[in-house]
Amino acid sequence: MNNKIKAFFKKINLNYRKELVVLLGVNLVVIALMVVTFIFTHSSLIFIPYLFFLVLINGVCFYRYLHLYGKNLTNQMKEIVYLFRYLYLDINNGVNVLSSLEALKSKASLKMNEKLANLLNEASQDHSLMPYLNFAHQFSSVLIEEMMINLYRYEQKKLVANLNNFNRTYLKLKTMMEEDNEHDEMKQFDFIKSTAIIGTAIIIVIVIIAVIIIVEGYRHG
Amino acid sequence: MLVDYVIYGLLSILSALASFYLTNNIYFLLITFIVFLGYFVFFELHFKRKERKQYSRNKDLNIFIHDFFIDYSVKPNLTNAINSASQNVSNHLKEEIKLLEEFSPSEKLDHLSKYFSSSLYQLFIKTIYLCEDRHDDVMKTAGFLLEENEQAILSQKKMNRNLWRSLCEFSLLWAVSFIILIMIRFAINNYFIVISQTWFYQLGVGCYFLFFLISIHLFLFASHGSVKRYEQ
Repeated sequence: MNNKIKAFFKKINLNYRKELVVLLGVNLVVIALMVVTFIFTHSSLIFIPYLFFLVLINGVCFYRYLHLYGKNLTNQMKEIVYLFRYLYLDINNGVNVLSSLEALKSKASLKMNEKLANLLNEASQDHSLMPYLNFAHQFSSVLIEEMMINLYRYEQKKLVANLNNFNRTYLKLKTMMEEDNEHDEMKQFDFIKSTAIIGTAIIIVIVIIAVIIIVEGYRHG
Repeated sequence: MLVDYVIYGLLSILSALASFYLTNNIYFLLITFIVFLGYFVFFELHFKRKERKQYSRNKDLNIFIHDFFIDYSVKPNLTNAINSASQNVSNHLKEEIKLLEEFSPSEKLDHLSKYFSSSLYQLFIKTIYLCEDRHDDVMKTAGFLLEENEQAILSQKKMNRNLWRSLCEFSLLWAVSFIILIMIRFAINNYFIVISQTWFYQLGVGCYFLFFLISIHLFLFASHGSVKRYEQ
């Protein structure tokens, strides 16, 4: 279980120990503040905002990790779409597939560069479909697999039909990514808009608690 | 720019007045005003300037690519195409191109990649090299690039519409939130003096305005991020 958690943090490029220390540290600070405030105010109502804050902080942290994981996958897909623009341009103008893939390495990130290098190494030794499939299976998209299969077929047979299939699949992937981008952006704005409702809820809760404090004060003279 | 100063100034004043109305505390008014104005002046205007610059360069790039290929497709001459493409762009880009007068056309295009730090420009450079190399039908070679350019223009317009709509909805929701606050203030009018003196209420109102500022920051950050994403 511990290894799985460490592997998860490695995938999202975060240091497991550092994150654990920060999370525990923040929780301890909030708890300490809660205790100190309680000692000074002697009001048990003080636990409400602090506990709410604790739940919020931990929720935000865990959401952040999941969000980073999803973002990592999305960024890989975006990079593929961005890089394969050049591939699309090259192979539709008669440039060799393997030369075009080689040219992509100068534009790719470190991780993508490694993946491309592995693909080119394997393709130089194994002239089957496997290197292309191995490359495609590192991404969470059936369209990339379809694209790589068409690329392999075009590389082998140089048929226009294979090139057209590659083009069609690439453009479909590109359109899908653009729509996803737009959807993610609007989702982000929707969340930000909802903060107004959260703000209103906060002030209503605060007024209610303030009234309760006063009523309690009156009851105890 | 003047409009930005006016809007941010008004927002700071309104927030400060609202905080005073809710707490009856002059220190609250001053702190709210200073914090809001400080945020807008030191952070937001800086990002706004960067955003405007990016937006202007995106627009220049779209015009440059379009006009370049209109000329280049008729007569494949880089010098004429660059001159033609420089006609309708911003003065800033015209000056940039003027500074590169002594360079050869291909060197000029390479130098401009520092001005247009965008993947669409890199695609443009690659297309030019292919055209120069292959001497094939220019419009066939540049077809994909021109489609990408068109798509970038449409995406920018769509993004602007979405941003404007989101801004209106965001402003409306916060306006309603403030109206609810004012109504609560009226509702507790008889007990307001007692309630406003409790530390909990004052802390709560402070948290509310801080939350409001964070919300504005998130919105502006997301809108700047949108422009950056559409840097093509």
